[in-house]
Amino acid sequence: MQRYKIVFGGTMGAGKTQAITALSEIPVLQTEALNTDTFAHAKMLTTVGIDYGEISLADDSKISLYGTPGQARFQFMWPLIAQGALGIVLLIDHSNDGALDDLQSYLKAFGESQQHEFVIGVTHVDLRPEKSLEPYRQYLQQIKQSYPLFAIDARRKEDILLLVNSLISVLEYKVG
Amino acid sequence: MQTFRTAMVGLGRSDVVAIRQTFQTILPEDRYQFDWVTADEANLDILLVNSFFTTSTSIKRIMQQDSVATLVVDHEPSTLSISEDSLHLPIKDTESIVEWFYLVVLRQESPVTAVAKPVAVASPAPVPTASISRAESTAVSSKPAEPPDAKTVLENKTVKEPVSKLPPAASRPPVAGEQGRYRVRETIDAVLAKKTGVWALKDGTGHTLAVADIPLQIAWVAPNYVQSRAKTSLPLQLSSDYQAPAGFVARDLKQWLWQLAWDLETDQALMDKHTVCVLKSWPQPTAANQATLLKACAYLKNKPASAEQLGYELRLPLTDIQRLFTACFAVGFADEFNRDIHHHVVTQSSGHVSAQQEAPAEQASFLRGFLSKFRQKLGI
Repeated sequence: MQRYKIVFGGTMGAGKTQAITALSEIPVLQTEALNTDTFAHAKMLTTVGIDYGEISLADDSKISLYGTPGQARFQFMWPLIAQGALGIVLLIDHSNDGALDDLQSYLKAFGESQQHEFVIGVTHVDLRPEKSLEPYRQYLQQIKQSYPLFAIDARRKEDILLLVNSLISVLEYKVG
Repeated sequence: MQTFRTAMVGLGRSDVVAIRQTFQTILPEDRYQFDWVTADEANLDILLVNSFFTTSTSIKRIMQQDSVATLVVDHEPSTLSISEDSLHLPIKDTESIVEWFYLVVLRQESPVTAVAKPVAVASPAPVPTASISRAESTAVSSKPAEPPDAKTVLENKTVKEPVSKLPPAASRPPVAGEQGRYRVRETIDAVLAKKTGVWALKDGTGHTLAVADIPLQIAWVAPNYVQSRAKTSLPLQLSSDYQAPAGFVARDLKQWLWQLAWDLETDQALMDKHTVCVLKSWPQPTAANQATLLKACAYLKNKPASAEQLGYELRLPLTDIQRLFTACFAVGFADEFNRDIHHHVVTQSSGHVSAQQEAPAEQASFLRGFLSKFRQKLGI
């Protein structure tokens, strides 16, 4: 049986658990605890380990969906979890004042390189509608990476499918 | 050209837009412009602050600086827009704002006062402090000018430009170019060429489609634009004259302009099919164009291509690809391929080809099969 892996990374409260829940065929294995870092995000519960979901294909191959814990103290885990992944879906909480810094640090932490294909979902855009996406685009252009970057709502399955669809499209042309 | 670094604190978005639009239109823009900055930036000239925030320590610190002209913004009922260094919303008259601006910011006589009282002042009367009430300003403008002290004259000569008499904003004719009518691509170029200000995009019937906020890179889109865009009449107009956008919805400016070009550009204005495109940023797809966009952008992410080549290889209609290229070029999401500038793209794509050649064909075939099954499973 073949197993593949897609990793969901990004800031605390950006919607990683919701994104995995939207796709997974099994109940998502969650490792949530009371959020003690209310300065970083006001939500009550937060992921402290790895979220895990799964999709099975007709030939018995499976796609594992891993969600990384968002807190910076777990940064050492991110590249380990991402090893061998088909791609990384990076979710950035646009309502954070330091959202651009978040994008930069997560790309670096996951090993911004030719190794991984990244797809970036910018979430909570509705909370800061007066904030443009232009700084993210400019940063990606500056590092000469044309990763797909879309404004999404992590609660909407079709938005998560847009991210996965773009990842599959990139992989298809990469394979040739 | 004199630029005023202006910050607004604690104001709602419709108030922000209304104030910007008013400030922008009441002064001759060939002489003065506003640079909209945040309050924590250095060398502020003007601060507009919500009356609820004036007790904040950081705001107090800014207001105490003599060099910063401050207006406290409230929604108190008033017949004048400005009184006692307070700006009362909604804006009712522009004359009191012009007067405040000349007296407090420029420290010169207001042309509005000069027109009303032509004998009052022969030469500009500098005001020594940045904080002046309307009552004080009237007193200054209605009495004969006192000879200014040497220091103030020097400051005025070195810092402030001379001012011509300004007719009231309402009677001012539009500046050439502002009200020009453009084709879609030219309109987008004109919006993106703006360095500051708030500009309205109207269709051929004068209906406001959106208001472009250049400093924020946001488009305030008319609530009914999404439904009506297919019927939008051309040509488009760019204008500084519009109503404050109550009920307008904020969208990312470049993405909205991209969509405008995708929706409205005529076939005659599409990019040449031989132009080779390098993708810099992905446009946000809609349900209607998602399949085309994702296929084309994923291809372009790996290597530059012409519209003709993409259309052929992806079996997509050539006009769809040309439409994509045209919209992406218009807003800077794509560049024309240049071997000297885009060598990194060539390096990446050639690296990809060699990696592919090295990878076992069986493995690549297996991965293609897997991706196809994954698509089927997700229904995409």
